[in-house]
Amino acid sequence: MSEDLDSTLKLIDRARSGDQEALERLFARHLKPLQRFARGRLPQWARDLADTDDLVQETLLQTFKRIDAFDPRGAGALSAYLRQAVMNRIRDELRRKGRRPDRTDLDGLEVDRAESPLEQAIGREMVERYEAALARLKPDEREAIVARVELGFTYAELAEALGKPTADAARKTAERALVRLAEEMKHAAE
Amino acid sequence: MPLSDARYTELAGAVLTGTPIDWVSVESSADVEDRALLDQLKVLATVADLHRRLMVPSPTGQDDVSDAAPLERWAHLRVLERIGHGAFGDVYRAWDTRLDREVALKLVREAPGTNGPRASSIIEEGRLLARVRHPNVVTIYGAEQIGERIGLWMEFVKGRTLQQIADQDGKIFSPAETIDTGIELSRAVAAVHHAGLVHRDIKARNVMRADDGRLVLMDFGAGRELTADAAESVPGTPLYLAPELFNGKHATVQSDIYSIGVLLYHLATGSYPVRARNLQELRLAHERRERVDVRTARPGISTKLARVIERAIDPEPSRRYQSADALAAALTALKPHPMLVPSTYAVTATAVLAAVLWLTWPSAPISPTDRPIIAVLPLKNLSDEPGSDYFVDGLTDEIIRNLAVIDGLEVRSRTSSFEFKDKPRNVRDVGEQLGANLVVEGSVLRAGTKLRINAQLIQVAGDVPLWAERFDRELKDVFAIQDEISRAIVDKLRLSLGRGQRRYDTNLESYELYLKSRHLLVRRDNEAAKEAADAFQQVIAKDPSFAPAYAGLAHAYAFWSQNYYGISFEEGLSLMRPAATKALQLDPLLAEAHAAMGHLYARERDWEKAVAAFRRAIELNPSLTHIHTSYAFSTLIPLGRFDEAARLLQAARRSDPLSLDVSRELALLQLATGRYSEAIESAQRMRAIDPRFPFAELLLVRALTFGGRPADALAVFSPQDRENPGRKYWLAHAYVRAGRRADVEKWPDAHDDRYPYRQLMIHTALGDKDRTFDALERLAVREPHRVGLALAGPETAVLRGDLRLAAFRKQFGLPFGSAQGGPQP
Repeated sequence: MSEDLDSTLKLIDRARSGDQEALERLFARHLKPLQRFARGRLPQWARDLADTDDLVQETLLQTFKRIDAFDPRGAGALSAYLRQAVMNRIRDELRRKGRRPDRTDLDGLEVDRAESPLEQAIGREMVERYEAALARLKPDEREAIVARVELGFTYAELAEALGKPTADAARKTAERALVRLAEEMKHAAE
Repeated sequence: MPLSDARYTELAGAVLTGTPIDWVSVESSADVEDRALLDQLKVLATVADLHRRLMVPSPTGQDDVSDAAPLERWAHLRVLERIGHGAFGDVYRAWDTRLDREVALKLVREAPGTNGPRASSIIEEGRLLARVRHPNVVTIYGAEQIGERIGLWMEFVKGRTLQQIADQDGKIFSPAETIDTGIELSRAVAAVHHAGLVHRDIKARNVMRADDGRLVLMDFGAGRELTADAAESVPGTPLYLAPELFNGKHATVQSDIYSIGVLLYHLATGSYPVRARNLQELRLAHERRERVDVRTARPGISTKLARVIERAIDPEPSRRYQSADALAAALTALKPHPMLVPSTYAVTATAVLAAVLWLTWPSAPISPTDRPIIAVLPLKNLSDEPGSDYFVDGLTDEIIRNLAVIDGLEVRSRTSSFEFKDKPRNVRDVGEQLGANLVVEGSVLRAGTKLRINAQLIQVAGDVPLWAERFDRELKDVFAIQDEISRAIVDKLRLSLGRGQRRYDTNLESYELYLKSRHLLVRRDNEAAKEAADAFQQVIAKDPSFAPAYAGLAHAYAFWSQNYYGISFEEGLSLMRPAATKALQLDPLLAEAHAAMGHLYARERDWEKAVAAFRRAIELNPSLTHIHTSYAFSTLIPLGRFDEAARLLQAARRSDPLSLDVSRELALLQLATGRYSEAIESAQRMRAIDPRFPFAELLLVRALTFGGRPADALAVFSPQDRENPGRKYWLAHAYVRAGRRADVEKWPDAHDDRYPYRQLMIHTALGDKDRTFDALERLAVREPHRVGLALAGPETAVLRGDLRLAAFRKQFGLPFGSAQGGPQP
């Protein structure tokens, strides 16, 4: 990702006007982070590594084909958009494969194999609350959380994605977004 | 006072970069409103942590093309196979080409910008660890960085992890096993701490029980665990983590002690002290200090052991043991008091008329309590026949009296027990009032001449029944039945308790006779065996309940029938059987009785039972070396299990370095494994200690013959022995090897079918395989117990490789694979 510091917004613009190279750079920027993200959201039984990676790659290809339909809504929100596409695809995939109630013991933590790593870590209910709260954030806040927390962007990369002048500005946005997210989750808990 | 916005932004910053947060201190300055928000921030910290772990490059080759090709070498190590992989790297079995040894190689990828391991810290830790030299800690050989990868190589330990043992066998460790494991593990961890390190990841998966019986603490140095699922599921092993680590505190000696405590809790109960389905729940449970007591998880555990485990896992680090050594010491104090374990029977010096025998038993494999104190409640009389009360009380008395002869068991007196006669009672009260932790109770129903007795043993703690049995008997002789039943109950109790050094109060004169006969047996020749058998009979005549004499008698018959100068094989067998059975019946925990059964089974070529009986005997009393030698001689050497025999005899040698009996068996084993120069030395040493010790001369002849010194072999026997038909056949191989084949060809014994063993020696020396097989067939009929030994010796090497040998071994019930038999020709 590092050699490519063109802003995401510029790349999107170029891609929408048919620049193949810009499209490829956007694709390359997001593929690996989203593949890893997907591993955290798929239950173990559905998480054959090659399958997951293919699924993400395919989803990205499909999504980028319709890049001209993508509305950046002012500030850049490509990460969150792509992430949502992958989430939708994962949900379809899980529906297609069906639930498998299969429990296993992992160092004593009774782990439901039907649960994704994220669900194992915080529980299914909490994942739902997190997703709902994330959906209620403003687009640039959501983008900051997705890109920084879920996709592992550095603050410099986040600045590019958000169209912020400096990494420090991107950091401040992400910090505020995180407190906002916690507040949204707290409201849902009350 | 509410937290400021700036404070929240600061916390958010820490969450976003993965900086540890001390939540406890943050919360201490927060109000209710804040806490609700902080709870959500904690959840987000977990979400961020999880994603950071997912960002670590995958070990499966998705991110690193170089991984796609199988690794063949690393520095000077030749990689043999991958045996494990995880988030940060892989573990391989490898060969150290410099030092020519097998090693385990852990390769870790340096992962910049993540929480992954750092090269410098791993290498530094590897260096420190390499200084830890402890039998219970895996030995680190070296650490090095090449390119982006850090390699750590160490001792390759074969065995199973405690988790595998628990999983595969569905096993819950007994309190005694838990204590022993805990002591070894604590000492290992102490060694790590003394080197200035903390382990940070003590858990059942990281502790191995090696095939050689050693407990080995594994898997550290990378600072992080390399489990197959670390990247994709819950991080590390959260259930073993001390609560303070969830609050961003650093790992310490105390957090390692917490992990040991969790591990012991897990082994002893099959569960964990703090239960949770996910990290969030676990965090909450720690905060609320929710935990399940050891004794709730498994009621049978003693309060003392429970207290030690609970102190190790105290939520407050300062209340835990201050060091792993202190934990080891606390666990050691729980072990049953060491019993008097004399290596031979000892007569108490002050006893003049009566000798008290202390027949030794090892400490218990199952010990439900720390130090068993037993109370026998008066059996309930369920019959209303007049006079039956006397019988029932008499039976209670007999049980108390018989229990009193078990060493290591404290028995409450009749007077105190009878306080409870005909009173409503519950076991807990009885235990408390009498200070007992075990209670025997039962009932007797008598109808005419029929008796039904129910008895059970109850552990006071938790009111747990440990054993119960019903006895139906015909009442003939009141005293005999009291004796029989009380003995049966007491023996069952000993078995159930797994302990019971039985004291035999026997007459001094018979005891001395017993010792003398035991000593005679070591000689193993006919005259000595016959004399010993007579003496054991005399001891039995004086004290028919003295079990060791019956066991001795069985062995005496075995040696008396060892060759055709004594009694026949069949006669020997028919005399051994009742003697061995009687010994076992009188005292089911007598090591010698099990050994006698082992010898009997070996004679019957029921090898599996023979092995089991000898093993039980050694388990019951590892200090009796004559059991080791009988086992080697009757079973292991005939079966070709030379390695096992060697280990056994070396152990016997250590506990009894001057024993000629052990030397003889070692020399026999050396002959069987082709180590002739060692055999020569052993035989010469035996002759130096006792020139008349039977078989020493014979072993020297055989060793010299095959050790390339046939002329010296011929000079060992006296001129008379060289002409004695009962001795000279042992020289057949020496003559042939010394170039005097013609002499042997003239010997008339070659054609005397009454002596198949002599024929075997002569025909093998002459290389006449057809005649050898004929002789072998005859030997199998007349002296089947000598076949295995004969085939293990160097004389029969000529037959190896002949298809007829495999067929014979198979038909005869001996192992017939390629690895069997003695040295190659």
